[in-house]
Amino acid sequence: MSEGIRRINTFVSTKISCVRWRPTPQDTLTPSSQFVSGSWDDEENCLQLWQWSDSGDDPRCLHRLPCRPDVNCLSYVSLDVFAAATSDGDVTLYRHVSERLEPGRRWDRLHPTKRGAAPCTWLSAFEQELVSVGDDGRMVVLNMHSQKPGRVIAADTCSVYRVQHVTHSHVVTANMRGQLKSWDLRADSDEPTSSVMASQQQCAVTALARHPTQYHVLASGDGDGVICIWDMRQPRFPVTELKSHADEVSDLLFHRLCPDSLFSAAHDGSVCQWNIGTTASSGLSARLHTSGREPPADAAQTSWLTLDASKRYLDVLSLLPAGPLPVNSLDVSEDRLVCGGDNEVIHCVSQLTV
Amino acid sequence: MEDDTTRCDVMVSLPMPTHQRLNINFSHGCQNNVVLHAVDFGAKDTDSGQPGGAPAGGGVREVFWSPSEWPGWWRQLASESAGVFSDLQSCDAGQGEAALRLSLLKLSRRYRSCLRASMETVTASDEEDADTHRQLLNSMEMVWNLSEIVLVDQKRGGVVLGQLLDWVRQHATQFDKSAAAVTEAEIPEKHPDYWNTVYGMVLQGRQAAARKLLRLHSGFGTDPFVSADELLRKVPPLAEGADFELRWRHWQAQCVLRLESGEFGYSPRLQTLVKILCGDAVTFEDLYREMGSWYHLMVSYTLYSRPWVGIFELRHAAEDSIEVFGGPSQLSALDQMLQAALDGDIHKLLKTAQATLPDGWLTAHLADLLCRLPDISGAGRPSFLSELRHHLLVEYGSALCASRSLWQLGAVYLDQCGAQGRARLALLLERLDPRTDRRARKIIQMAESRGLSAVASSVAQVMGRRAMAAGQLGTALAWALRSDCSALASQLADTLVKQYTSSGRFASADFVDNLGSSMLKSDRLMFLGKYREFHRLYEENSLQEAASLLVTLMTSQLAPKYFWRTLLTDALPLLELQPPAFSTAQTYDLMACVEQLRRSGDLDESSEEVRLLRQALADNLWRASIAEDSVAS
Repeated sequence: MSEGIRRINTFVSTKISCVRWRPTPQDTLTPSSQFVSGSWDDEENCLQLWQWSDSGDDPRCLHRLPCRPDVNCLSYVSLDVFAAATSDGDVTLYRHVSERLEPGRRWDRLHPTKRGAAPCTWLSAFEQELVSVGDDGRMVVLNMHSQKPGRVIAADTCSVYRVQHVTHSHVVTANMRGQLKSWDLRADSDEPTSSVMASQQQCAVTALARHPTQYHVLASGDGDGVICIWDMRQPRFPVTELKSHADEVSDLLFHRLCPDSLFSAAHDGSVCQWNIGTTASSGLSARLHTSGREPPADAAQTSWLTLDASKRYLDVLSLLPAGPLPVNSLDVSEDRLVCGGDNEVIHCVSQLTV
Repeated sequence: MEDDTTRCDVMVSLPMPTHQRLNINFSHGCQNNVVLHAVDFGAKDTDSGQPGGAPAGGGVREVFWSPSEWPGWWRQLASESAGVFSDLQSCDAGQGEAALRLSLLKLSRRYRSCLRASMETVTASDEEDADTHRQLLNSMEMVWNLSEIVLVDQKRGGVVLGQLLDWVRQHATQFDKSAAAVTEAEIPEKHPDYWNTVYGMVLQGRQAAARKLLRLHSGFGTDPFVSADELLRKVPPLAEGADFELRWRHWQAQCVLRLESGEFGYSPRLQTLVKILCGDAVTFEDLYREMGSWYHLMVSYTLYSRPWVGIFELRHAAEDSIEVFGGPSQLSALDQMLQAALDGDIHKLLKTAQATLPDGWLTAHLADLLCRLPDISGAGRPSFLSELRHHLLVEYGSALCASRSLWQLGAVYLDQCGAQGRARLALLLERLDPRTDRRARKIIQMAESRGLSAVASSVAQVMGRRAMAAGQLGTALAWALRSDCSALASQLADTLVKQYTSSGRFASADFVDNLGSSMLKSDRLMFLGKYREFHRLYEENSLQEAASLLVTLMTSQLAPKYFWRTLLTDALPLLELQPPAFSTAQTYDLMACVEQLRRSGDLDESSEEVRLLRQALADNLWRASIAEDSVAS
């Protein structure tokens, strides 16, 4: 494990399917101190709100809400409101009220099939809009303030595993056959604007991440553990392939402030941090004080897309070593990372170098 | 013989469709359930005419007879100890004996800290029976600690009294509580528990604490008290070696001298105290109730009679202490386990533990640890131990697999159990219900990484059939390809082809386009792929290639017979092309196909369609012959 990083492991007696930091206002650099977690694979699952200050203590559970079906995805819509998607095909909004969670609006059975309600597999939130995809292949556009779902697009004939907003109207979905499809939500037709196979072996795409500043850069992870970087302006082939994980990639994330860092979690139990830069000292602090040959703005512009071409230095740090049980989810806030998986442990890592 | 068949422990009523001839058949699920379904034994088997058992309606029901959910604190124990278990497996057995014992000791301490962490969680939670659980965990930790002291951590010369004292102090906490009460009382010496606490501190070898309590007595400045205080101060600390024995005997001789000289004559309580220091057996027996347990008596008596003894002599002292407490018949299960641990009788220890503890945690992990010890106490490792360990781990792993959420941990244990564990894991993984895509993918990955491809294929097939029942053909096809089951893939391809025939549209067109090499898994699928390719070629206006593909499809018997009519209808526009898309040979082939259809009676000669077809074929034939002849010339 890398030096200087501190890790705290807390046994929580539930399998964690999703963890998300509560967002802090955009202009501050203070890391978040609260996160929510959802569990799966129990008779009665739960949503929990945790408080963690980086003082060496374990995170403390502030509130525990029972939730019968598996929680598949948590996605923050605003500073105080997040949406939870469950395996019954429901999406519910929850609000932070003092140190508790209160359920709000709820959309039921968004993905019905002949045999009952299919699970809602992922959510993507953008301003007031939520897009939900499920195992029935449909994509449903929801507006936070309206009970009636907006558009329902029959996106695919098989399960859609991930969805990600690129811009307000441009949405990318990934399905179980390894296809990445782009959609224009403003258009009337139900056909994707482009569709590309992420791998030749028809491996399911199981994670998507959007670059925080360059919206056309997308990272995808598939069932074999391969992470591909795409330029969505010309999405015929991936720009780069990164192979470090031995098993399915479960979660991917670009760091919000330092997009040269990519974090990935996989079913082989490992969590990796991928850093690029021309020298070893390109980091958050270096960026603030740099007087290098290239102006920093340009260096950030094209780093991921020109990875191969300019032979930029790629550093892979292992934040969590591989284990027998999968890690299902991770989230990063400034220099803190929280991740959880089927080993019933929440790992809180602080003092990351980005 | 008594009629045992009418006795049953549990009767469960299940709603089933009522039918006179229905019977119930069952198959095993995981550890704690069976799966029942109705079978119609009255239906005759069509081939042999014998009554067979056809599945009847009513679905399939699972009956569980023990809860498959574990409480939170137990899950914490299971998860944490699974980590220690994995580390134990990778412990190097080839290192020297001392180093090996040290590593095993560290791992043993980690197990105990898992137990203590669970105890804290139980105490922090406010369930009704938190106390019972905490006591259970406490007993388990006690047994483990004693086994660790006696079996794992062997001292040179076998002197263990110091560790045993620590162990007793940790678990006999009644004197701490009373000491707190006594010190807070206004007049400590009048407190009913005062003297018992002083005796208790001395019995546990905590002379400093005893001296502090004595200081609280009003008569402290007097001679007897000063003398007793001095004796307590001069106790030689426990150490190894011959000169410790010498110093200690000298000290005890001092105590006896002072006692017999009558210094403590006026204070019977102090007299009792010094008698303890002199190792007077009668006094110890009188105080047995305060000590509360035979092991406390044994350790305390040994402390003040022969503190340098080894394990072997302690066993005799244990028997004597047990006699004081009423003999072996009065022993509780915990006492029996502790005695077995002290005796080094692993078999009895594990047997009692298995009979009394509610789950196999202690026996499985302890057996695994003890199995790795280098030669135990010179008598050779018991031969039964490795088989017992194997059996216990398989049972524990299976119990984990049977639970709702801990099946992944079960695999960690079953992996260490050789071929039998692997076979058991294969059976259990197959019987897990893959409720959602996510769970199914994890089960399949677990099976594939262990080389259990049959299990992976079977789970994928279940998902495929469920998707098919839900009407999601694309998902079903994806699962069918994942499972390498050509029967399911053919069935789905057939359904898709029939859908096309009825609706004129391709569902899952983009899927079929990108099949690639997985097309080879089933003939029907290959046909579907090629047919789709035909359509694409037609749309792209590569008509020559489209035409040859069409002919290949028909002549190579790849196309199902019921589809030939559609193919021939597709061929019609191509037949009317100028210059001809079909060569003469290809046209003859097409005609042969039409002829085959006619012979099998599938062709309706009177219909307009067929007439057009024959006409088009004939037209194409003469155009093609002319074109070929002119090229030839």
